[in-house]
Amino acid sequence: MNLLFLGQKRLTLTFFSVLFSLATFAQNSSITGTVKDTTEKKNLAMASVNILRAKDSVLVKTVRTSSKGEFAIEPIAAGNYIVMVSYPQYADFTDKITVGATPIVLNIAIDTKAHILKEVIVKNTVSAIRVKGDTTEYKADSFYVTPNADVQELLKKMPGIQVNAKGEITAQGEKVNKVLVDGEEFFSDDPAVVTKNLRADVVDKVQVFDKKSDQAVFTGIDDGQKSKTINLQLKEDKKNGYFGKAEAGSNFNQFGNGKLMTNAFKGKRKIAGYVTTDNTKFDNLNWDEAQNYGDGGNITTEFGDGGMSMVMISGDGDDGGSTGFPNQQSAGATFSNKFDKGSVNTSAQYNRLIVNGLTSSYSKTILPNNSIVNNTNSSQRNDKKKYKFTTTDQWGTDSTGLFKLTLKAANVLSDNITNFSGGSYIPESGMQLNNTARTTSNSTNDKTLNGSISYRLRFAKKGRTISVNSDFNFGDKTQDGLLNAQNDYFNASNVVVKRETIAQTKSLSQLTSAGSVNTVYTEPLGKNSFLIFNYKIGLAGNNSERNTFDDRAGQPKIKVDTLSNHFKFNTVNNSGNISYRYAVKKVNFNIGTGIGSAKYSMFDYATNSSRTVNFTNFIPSATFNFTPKQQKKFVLSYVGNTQNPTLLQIQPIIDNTDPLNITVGNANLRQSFTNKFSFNFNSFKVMKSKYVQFSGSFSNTNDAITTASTIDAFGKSVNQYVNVDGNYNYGAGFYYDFELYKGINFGMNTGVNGGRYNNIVNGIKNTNDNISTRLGIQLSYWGDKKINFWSSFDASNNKTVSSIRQGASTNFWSYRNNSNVQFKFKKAKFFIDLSTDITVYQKSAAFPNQRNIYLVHPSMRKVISKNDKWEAKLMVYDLFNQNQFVDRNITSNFISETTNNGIRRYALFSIIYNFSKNGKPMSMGF
Amino acid sequence: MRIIYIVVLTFIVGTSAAQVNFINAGKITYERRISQFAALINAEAQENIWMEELKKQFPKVVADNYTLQFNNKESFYYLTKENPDNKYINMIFKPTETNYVNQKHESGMVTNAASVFETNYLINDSLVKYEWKITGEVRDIAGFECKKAITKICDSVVVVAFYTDQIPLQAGPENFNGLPGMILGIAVPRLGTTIFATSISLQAAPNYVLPTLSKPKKSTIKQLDADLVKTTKDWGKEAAAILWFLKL
Repeated sequence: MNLLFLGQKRLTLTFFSVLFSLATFAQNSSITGTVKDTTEKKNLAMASVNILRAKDSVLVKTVRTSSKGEFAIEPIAAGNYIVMVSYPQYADFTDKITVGATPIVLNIAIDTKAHILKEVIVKNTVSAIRVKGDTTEYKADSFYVTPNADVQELLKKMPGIQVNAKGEITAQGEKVNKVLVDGEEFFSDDPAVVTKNLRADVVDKVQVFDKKSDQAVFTGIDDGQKSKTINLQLKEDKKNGYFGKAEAGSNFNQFGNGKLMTNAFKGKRKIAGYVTTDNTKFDNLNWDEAQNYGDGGNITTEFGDGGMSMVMISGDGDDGGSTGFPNQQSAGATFSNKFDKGSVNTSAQYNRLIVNGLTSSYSKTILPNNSIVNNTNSSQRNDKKKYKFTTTDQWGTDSTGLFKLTLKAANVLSDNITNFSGGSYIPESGMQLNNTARTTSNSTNDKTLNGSISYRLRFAKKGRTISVNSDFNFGDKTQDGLLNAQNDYFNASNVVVKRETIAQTKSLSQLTSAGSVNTVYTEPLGKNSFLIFNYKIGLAGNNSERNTFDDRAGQPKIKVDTLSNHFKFNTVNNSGNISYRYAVKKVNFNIGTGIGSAKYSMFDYATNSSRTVNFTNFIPSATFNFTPKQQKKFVLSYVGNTQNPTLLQIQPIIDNTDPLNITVGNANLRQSFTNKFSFNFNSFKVMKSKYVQFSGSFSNTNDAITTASTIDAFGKSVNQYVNVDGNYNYGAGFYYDFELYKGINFGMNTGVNGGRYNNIVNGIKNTNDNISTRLGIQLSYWGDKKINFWSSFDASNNKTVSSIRQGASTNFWSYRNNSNVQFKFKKAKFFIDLSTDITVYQKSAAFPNQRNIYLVHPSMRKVISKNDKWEAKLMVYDLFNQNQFVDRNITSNFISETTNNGIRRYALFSIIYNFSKNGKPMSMGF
Repeated sequence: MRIIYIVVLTFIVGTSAAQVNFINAGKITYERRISQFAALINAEAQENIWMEELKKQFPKVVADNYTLQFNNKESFYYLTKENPDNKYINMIFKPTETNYVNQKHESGMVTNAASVFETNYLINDSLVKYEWKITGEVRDIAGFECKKAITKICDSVVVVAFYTDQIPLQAGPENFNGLPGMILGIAVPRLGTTIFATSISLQAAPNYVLPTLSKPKKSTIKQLDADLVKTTKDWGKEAAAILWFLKL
């Protein structure tokens, strides 16, 4: 755009050409002259004389006139220029000049603004224009503009509206001061900025009116002050649209998936839905899909000052499992809308998930003189149907008070069958202890309603806030089950000396209700310090009835009193907390103390007896933060925490599902108290791409609640919760990441965790010392264009010594590698992705089986249509057919390894169709 | 109508007859406003889920006050006072009291103390040259009639400036300079950023003590550009916005 001046003004120009023609001056010349007032004929000092390039109005030279009103510009290259002279309260003088070899002399006279009259042009209106009251409305489509034209071009076509080369708009003879978009001010109130930044084809109507002053709008009294305003009404259909995706994949045999999802929006109102079927994985929607087509899950974000931020995404957590063979169908619909002062988000979902799985486990219990090994195998089938309704609604703002309501109602129906077999032996003597085989089946109906209401208000006084958060939960669960089991116990010569057969039906009905209110009030004490008060009250009730019947074929059904019970639990929690916070630029610290009380009561309907336990808790804490620089932080903190025993630890409910593990109560159980100290230092150098972090912690627990186990000659263990002293934990870590070479980042981390854990085995105090060390390295490159990769390698060592048998220490290494490489051929719209997940465990005395798993998943994707609508994808899952899930655990004198099966090698070919109008799905953006 | 016209005319002629005051030394207060989401979204050209979350947590606009002290030779532009209540979506928006821009128009040089992430740059270089297009549009800023001029930074980012003839020093906020008078307003639509003067007071001479930067890295504008490009090259789409902003 050439921003040339259109000289409408009547100007006086005196032009002298002095004839000095010297060939050597052909390239550079000069301009000299004077500036004077037309009327007073007085030379003007400090007038601004500017030389602009004629073709694009670019400023080339700028000078001020001397005290005598003279100016000189040199050197200046030959060419076409505009001279612009300005002086406060005088009209600008502009004229075209051509600089040749000859120096130019300009004597310029300028006028005060008062001498210049404006012309007003009024044109007749045509049919595409309607006059409504004092508003003139133009229908944008009636005026032809070129495709991709901006609004400025559109306005130029409209009668009664003029746009000059500077972008200034005149409507009905008056200058337009404001351009609004849909009645709201655009980023800039500068009309030229708005009209150049908006496309003509999104505009529905152009309305021209006189806007009353804000004062007049507020008071309702017309003060006569009006300014010409243009409102651009945008087309509704540019705000309305839809997008979606259909996907179908198959290996042309047993595996396949299908997805259909869509999101239709109208302004901020959104209706989204999906239908899926899949027997290759557990998630029905991936993260981006859940955001665009589902209810979005629960996202909590925390943003610190200086760019540090944290995003927490919490699912329901109970959609569960990742092992076995899944088969699922799901459907959902979400409605959401946003208003000026609130938002609504409501969704209904259905999900059916059937999982068939095989599990085997190996465990070893270390005893003073020997050890017991237990091997089990089980197969299970779980069929779960879930109906869920959620709504999250919000009104208000922080300063006027913000209300938030969340409601979640769910009905879950599940059927579960497990076939289990296992046995224990003593490896030292080879003696068999027991064998067990059992089948359990349960069908459960679990109805829940969870909700929360919160209110938050920020007062006008800085730092004074109040927030009240209340939660409530109701549950109604019924379960019917079968237990058929045979347990054999052996003597030293491997002869069965005792056989238990169990054939029972069980029923459970449980009603739960809970509610809590948490109130936090902050009061500023001066500029940098605050007092924070917190009070929480919580009530919970649980009425649970469990009946067990002996139910053998051909025999009458008999209630087993020892395995039947009916209890009512009630809990009342009260806690108050006061803390002081001091925050200045580089330092902030927090010190506080709290006191709480907990009252547990239990009523046994069978014996008509009740029991009440009271605890008083003490909760001190202190945190110190030091931030010497941006992106450098040091934190030191202390927390003291009281842990109450649970009522089930004091008085457990007898359950015979696993007759080899029985828990008995302990009425004398006391609460434990833990002191925890921790520190953390981190520094991030952005320019150097260098990150360093150190951290460490230590905690010790007095009266820690742990188990005392008595294991009899048959391998049956009886467990009781007891208090012990001397438990502690420690940990330290170091992380370092830097740019190795041209965008390739190298990171390393190392750390150690350890602790002492005391428990009691067959009456003997057992002290377990555990140390685990880890070392990891990462390599990554984010090229964005052609190739991205990251790879990590971790090695960890676990070492445990139990005092009851020093010789039987456990010490093993495990190694893990995760990698991902992406190749992008953007022109060919072809993408290759390769990910690996390798786990190698060291063989050891404790874990005789070597469980190495090499998982490699290659995939490629190609956009196959010109408009990006069709994509084809080929992926191979578990190329080397190795998949299984191994979990190793070491706690005190008990070590275990559990192996679950999962889907192995298959190749899946998918076709994806993306459709959209005026919109597209949002992505995470990184 | 005619009567009013005459009254206005007399008034204007009356002032024009009086001596026009050019301001050769003084103190200007600017307000820098950043529409934080616009600044990042415009560059990315696509909204994302992350941004939706940010919108819930951060204010749309953050404002900071800057001071520019000048005489007819040089100018000092610096943050008046840090505002601890401001919540910046990105640390590059957060200004620092130890930063300043000292434009020295006699020598054509600039000294710029700029804290970029963890590095404190102390730049000594020639004044940045801008190619200004003069549009002739006028508007009033802080009681001064200003003319509009347009330039581009980083090849594509349009910067709109408003300058007044009444302050002859060819300086302005940040590195901006080279217009026929003092720049009283800057608007960068793509970064959602404006720097507009809110008040101007007369003052005999600048009285500004240059703050001492800790561990300053002596550098040039070219070197800083190279460092920034290197740092942000793997930052994805947001890098563009950050680079543009730091180039203001």
